Amino acid sequence: MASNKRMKGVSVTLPVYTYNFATPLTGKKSNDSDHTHKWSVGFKGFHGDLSFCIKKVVFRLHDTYPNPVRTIEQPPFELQETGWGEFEVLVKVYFHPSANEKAAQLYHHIRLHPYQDDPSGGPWPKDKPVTCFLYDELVFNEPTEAFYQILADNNVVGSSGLPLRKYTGKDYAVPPFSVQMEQEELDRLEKAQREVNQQILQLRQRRLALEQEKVSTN
Amino acid sequence: MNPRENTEQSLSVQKQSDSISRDIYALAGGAPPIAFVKPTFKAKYNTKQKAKSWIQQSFTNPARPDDLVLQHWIPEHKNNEEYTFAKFNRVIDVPEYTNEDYDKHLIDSDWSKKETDYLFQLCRRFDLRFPVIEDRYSFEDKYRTMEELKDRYYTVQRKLIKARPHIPGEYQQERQALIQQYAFDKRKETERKEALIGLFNRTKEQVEQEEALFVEARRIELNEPRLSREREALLNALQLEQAQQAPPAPLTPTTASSSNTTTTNAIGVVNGNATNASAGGSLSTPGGIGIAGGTASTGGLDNKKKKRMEESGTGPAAVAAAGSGSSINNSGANKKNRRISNASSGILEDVVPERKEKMIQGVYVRSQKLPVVTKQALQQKLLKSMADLDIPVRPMMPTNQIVQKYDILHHSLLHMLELKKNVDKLEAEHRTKKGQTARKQPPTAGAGPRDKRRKQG
Repeated sequence: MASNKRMKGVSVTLPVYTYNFATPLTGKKSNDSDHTHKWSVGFKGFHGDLSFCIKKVVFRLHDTYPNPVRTIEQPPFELQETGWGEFEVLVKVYFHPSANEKAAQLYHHIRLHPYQDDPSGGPWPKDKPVTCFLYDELVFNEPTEAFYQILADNNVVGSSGLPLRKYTGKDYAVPPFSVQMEQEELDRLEKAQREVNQQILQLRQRRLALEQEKVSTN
Repeated sequence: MNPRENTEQSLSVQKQSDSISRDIYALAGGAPPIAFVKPTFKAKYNTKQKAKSWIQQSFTNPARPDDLVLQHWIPEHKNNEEYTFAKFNRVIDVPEYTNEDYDKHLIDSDWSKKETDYLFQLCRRFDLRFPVIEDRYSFEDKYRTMEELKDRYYTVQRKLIKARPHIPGEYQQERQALIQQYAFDKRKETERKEALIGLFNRTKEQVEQEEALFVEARRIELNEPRLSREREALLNALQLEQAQQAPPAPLTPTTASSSNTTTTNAIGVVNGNATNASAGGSLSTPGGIGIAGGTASTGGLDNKKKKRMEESGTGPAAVAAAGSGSSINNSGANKKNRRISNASSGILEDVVPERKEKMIQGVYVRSQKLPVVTKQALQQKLLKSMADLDIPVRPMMPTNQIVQKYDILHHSLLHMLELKKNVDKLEAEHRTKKGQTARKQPPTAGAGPRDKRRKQG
C-alpha cells in the first residue's frame, strides 16, 4: 500500500493544547467536601475541531473517581466532572488509523484554585472560572503518505494555526497562545542566552588569567 | 562361599545400623571407588553341556621353510584344517635384480653395489619397515638417514620398472602409474621431517603465541566484511566533511538568503561588525566575533524586528544562528547548513553537542523532549540559574524553535556552571598561594636592600 509508505525526512507539527476550567460550587452540595468545584478538562487544537486526524481522546482521571477511564470519541474532546482536589489527568490521543501511529500521551494538571490575583486588581471573583491552558506540539516524524495528505488538506502542514496576537477579549475559553507570545518567549530566551554567553566569556578570561598566573609563579 | 556370605551379611548389617544419608556420606569424602570391591558375579559351571572331544594332532606350518612337525590339541571338528596362524606370514615383494640389471641401470655414485644389496636385504628382512631398517642399518659405519634409504630404494624401483621389457598387453599408462607410485622427493621429505621435528619440539610459549596469532587471524577474517564496511563509511564521512568544510563562508550567506531576508541582513551586519569586535571588547577567539556581532546586530534589528515578526520570527534567531547554527525549519539542506556553521563557529562549538540528524519515525510530544538533568545537585543549580535569568522550567509555548533554544541554553548553562566551578577552584588555589608567599615576605624583605648594596659595590 503506497499510502502506508513513510515520507522520509518529513516532519509535521500539530500545535495543540490541553485546558481546564473550574468554578467553585455553591449551594447545598458545597457542604459535602467531595464536591467543592465543578471542573472540565479538554483537548483542542488550532485547526478546527481536529476530527480529521484524531479518532478519540481518552482521559484517565484519578483512581478515586469511578470509571476513571473516560473516552470521548467526538469533538469537542472535553469532559466535565466535580471534585475537590487538583490532580494530573493522563490525556491519551488516538490518531486516525491511516497514520499508523501509537497514541500520544499528554499530562494536564487540573487547576481549581486561582493562584494569581485577578487582573482587575482585587481577589478573584467567585463566579469567574479558573482557567489553565497548556500548550504543546505533536510532532509527526516521517508520517505515512495517507496521513500526510489528511494533514495537508486541513492546513496543518503550512501554517501553525496560531493567532497573530494575544487574545484580549472577554471569552475565558480562548487560549492566550499566539505568534506574539512565541516571539516574546523567544526574545526572553535570546536575552538569557546572551547573558549566559557573556558570563561564559568572562569566566573563560578569568580562568585564563588565573592559569597564566599559576604558571608564572610556579 | 561361606566366608563371602558372611561378609555380605556383615556388610548389610553394618549398613542398617550406621546408616547415614548418601548425600551426607558424600560430603565426608564418600565411599571409595567400587573397583576395590570384588565383583559379585561369578559364572557358574555349566553342567548341562556335553563334553567336547579334542584330539592331539601333529601338523606342519606351511609358513616355515623347513618341515618341522609339531603337535597340538585341536577340537575334533577343526581337524584337517590349515594351520590358523600360517596366513599371517605375509611377505612383501621386494623386487630382485641381477648383476647385469645393476650394471645396466642402477649404478649410483653414492651407493656401492654392496651397500645396495645390503639395503635390499634389510628391506626384505624387515618388510620395508624403514624406521626399523634405519635403526638396524650398519654398513661399514656409514650413517644413512631414512630419507636417503628411502630415496635409494625408490629410485631403484623406478629404474627397474622402466627397464623392464615390454610385456604384451600392457599399456603405457599402467607403467607410468606404477612409476608414479614410487615417486619420492628426498629434499622435500627431509624438509618435511625437519619441520615436523621443529613442530614437535616447540616450547610452551611458542605454542601459546601461535594459538593467539591464530585466534587473531580468525577474528580478523570473521570481522572482515564489517570492518571494511566501517572503513568505507568512515572514508565517505571524512570526504563529505572535507567537501562541506571547504567552503563554509560562502555557504552560510547563500543558504541563508534562500530562506529569509532578515537572515542575510543579520549576517551582513555580523561581518560588518567584525571590525568592531576589537573595539567592542578584548575578544581573541573568532567565535567571539559571532557573538559580539550578534549582540550588536540585534540592537540594530530591534526596530525591524516588530515589522518582520510575522515571518516565522527568525530574525534574531538567525543572528544567534550565525554563531550557533540555523534554526530554520526546512529539513535537509538547512540541517547541513547548521552543521557547517557549527563547525566554523567558536564559542558554542564545544558547548552544544553535534545535533543528531537522524529522525526517529513516529509521533512524539514536543514538551517531553526538553533536556533533563540527571544529577540532583546539578539540577538544583541549573534551576536556580534559570530562575535568575527569569526563564521558566517549562516553556509556555514549546514550539520547535523554542525547544531548540531551550536545549542550547541548557547546555550553555551547564558549561557556565562548570567554568564557574573551575574558576572558583583556581581562585582558591591562587588565594592560598598568595597567603603562603605573603608569609614568606617579611623574612626576605630585609635581604632586599642588602642585595642592592652588594650589587652596587
